[in-house]
Amino acid sequence: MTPAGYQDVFNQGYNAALKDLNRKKCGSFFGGQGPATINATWYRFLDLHNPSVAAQTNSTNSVFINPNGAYMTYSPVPGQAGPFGLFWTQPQFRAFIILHELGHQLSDITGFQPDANKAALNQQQSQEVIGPCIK
Amino acid sequence: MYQIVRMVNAHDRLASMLLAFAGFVACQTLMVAAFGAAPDLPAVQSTTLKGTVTDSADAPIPDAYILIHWDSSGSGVGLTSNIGLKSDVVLKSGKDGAYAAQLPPGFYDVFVSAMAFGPACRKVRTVTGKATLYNARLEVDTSVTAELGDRLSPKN
Repeated sequence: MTPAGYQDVFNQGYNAALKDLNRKKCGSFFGGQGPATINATWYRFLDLHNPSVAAQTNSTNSVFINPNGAYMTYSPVPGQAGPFGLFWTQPQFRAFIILHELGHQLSDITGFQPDANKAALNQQQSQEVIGPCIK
Repeated sequence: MYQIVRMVNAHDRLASMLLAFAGFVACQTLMVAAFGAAPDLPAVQSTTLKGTVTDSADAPIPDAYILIHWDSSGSGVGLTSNIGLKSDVVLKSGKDGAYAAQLPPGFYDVFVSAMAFGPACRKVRTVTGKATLYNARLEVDTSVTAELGDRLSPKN
């Protein structure tokens, strides 16, 4: 489903997410279901009409990524911390977005709740991913 | 690997067509049962309604829900080319987003919906001897995004 123009940037995040999932703590957070789930997911790059929306999980196998959102627009600034006070490379940050959405896809395992318009919950759930998968 | 391109699945399309045609045949069977051998009944020709369901980036949407509802306009006042079906026809798009239905000639309202997309609908006219095409291009529904979209700024 990924349009050709986004294939490379998608692969970048996808492959980095797979690497993260190979780490024991990260894989366990997703109950060992991470690789199989993202492998079976239909990722679509679609304008979500709000640049502050990075992505949207619709079901266990349907995720929209906003081509005008953070997945595409984040770029690190040398010497300056990025989101969540961390120094992210683009692949790391893209992987994080895929993994955050994976948390929603596997909500039965992760306990994730819908967090649109709930900044505190979004931050909390993001930290739950960052802890075992990114740091 | 994750899903990128879906191949044409002829079996899916065939199944959809058979499903729709089964309703058509059942209707004809009922007509024959009601009117006996019905030698005076006009031979009902089937028509084809087909199309593809895609998103706004032109990627196919599989498993979209397609409902075809007959509009009986004129059929009771002499418009003999609007034969239609009294029962709605329900289909799902195949893995390549394609769908097809065999229908009696007539006016139909076609309604297409898929998860997280706004629905699309159109009135179509099917005529004997010519396939009617309705491609539905679905847009992301902003009300769904408002409740499911993860807000994440590159700077937060």
